[in-house]
Amino acid sequence: MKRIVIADDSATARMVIRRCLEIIGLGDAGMVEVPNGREALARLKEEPTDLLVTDLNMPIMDGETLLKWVKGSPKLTHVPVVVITSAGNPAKEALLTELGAFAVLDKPISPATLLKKLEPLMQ
Amino acid sequence: MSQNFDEMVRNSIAVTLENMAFMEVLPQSDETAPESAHSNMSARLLVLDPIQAEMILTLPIKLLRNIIDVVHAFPEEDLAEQIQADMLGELLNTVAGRLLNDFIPGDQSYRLGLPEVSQDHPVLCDGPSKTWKYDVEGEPLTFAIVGSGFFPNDSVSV
Repeated sequence: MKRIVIADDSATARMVIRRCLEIIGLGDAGMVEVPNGREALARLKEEPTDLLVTDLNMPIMDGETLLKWVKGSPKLTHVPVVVITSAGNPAKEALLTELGAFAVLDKPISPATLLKKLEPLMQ
Repeated sequence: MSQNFDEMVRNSIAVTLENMAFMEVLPQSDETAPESAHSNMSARLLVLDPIQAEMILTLPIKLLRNIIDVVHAFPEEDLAEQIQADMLGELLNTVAGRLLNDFIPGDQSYRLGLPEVSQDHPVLCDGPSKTWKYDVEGEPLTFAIVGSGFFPNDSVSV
C-alpha cells in the first residue's frame, strides 16, 4: 500500500491506528491524518489512496456519512474503508457492511486484530 | 444494580487501559480507594440513543501523563495540555463504547455524543447515578454514570 488516510477527531486514536499499521508492516505507506470526514474526503480526492481508516463519531462529517460519500463516488468507490469505532456492535457492523465498509473493528484496536482484517488487502 | 453491570463497567475500563496503556485496573471501595495529591481532569460523554445518560471519567493528571507516556512515547511540551484532553476523551469514548456493546442488545445500534473535557470537578445531572472507583498504578480513577437509562428500577447514588 502506498497511501493510507486515517480519519479520527482524536490525535491519540490516530496515533494508535498509525502505530498498529506500522507494526503490521504498512510503515512504508504514506499516512495522511485528518480530524473529520469532510477533510478525509478532500484528501482522498487529492491522490489515489489504497486504504481509508475512519472513526464513526466525528464532528463536521461522521464516519457513516463519509462511508456513504466514498461508496457513492465513482472515483472513490474502489477505496477499501475500515471503520474503527468505540460505537460499534453487530447491528452497526451489519449496517456499515451493507453500506460498503470493508471491515469494522471495535476500539481499542490491536495490531493482531487489524492484521487479521487487512490481510486480504495486503496479499 | 446488578453485580453483572458492575462487572461490565470494570471490564470496559480494564480492557481499555490494559490494551492502550498496559495498566492494571483494581476495583476499590470508598474506604480503600487511593487519594491523589494531584489535581484531577474529567471528561464527560452523552449517550444519545437508545437510552439517555451521561458518563464521566475522572483521573489525576499525573496518571493521565503516565498513560500518555505509554501511548505517545514523547509528547511535545507545548502540546501537553491538548494531548491530555485528547487522551482523556479517547479513553472515555472507548470505555463508553465497550460498555454499551455489553449492555445494549446486539441487534440494536446506539449513538454517543462527543467527549468534552474540563479540569473542573464534574457537576452531576439530575437522575439516578452511580460511581465506581478504581486503583490504577496507585492513583484513583473514578467512573460515574448519570441517567435513568442504565438504572430503570434503581435509584442509586453512591
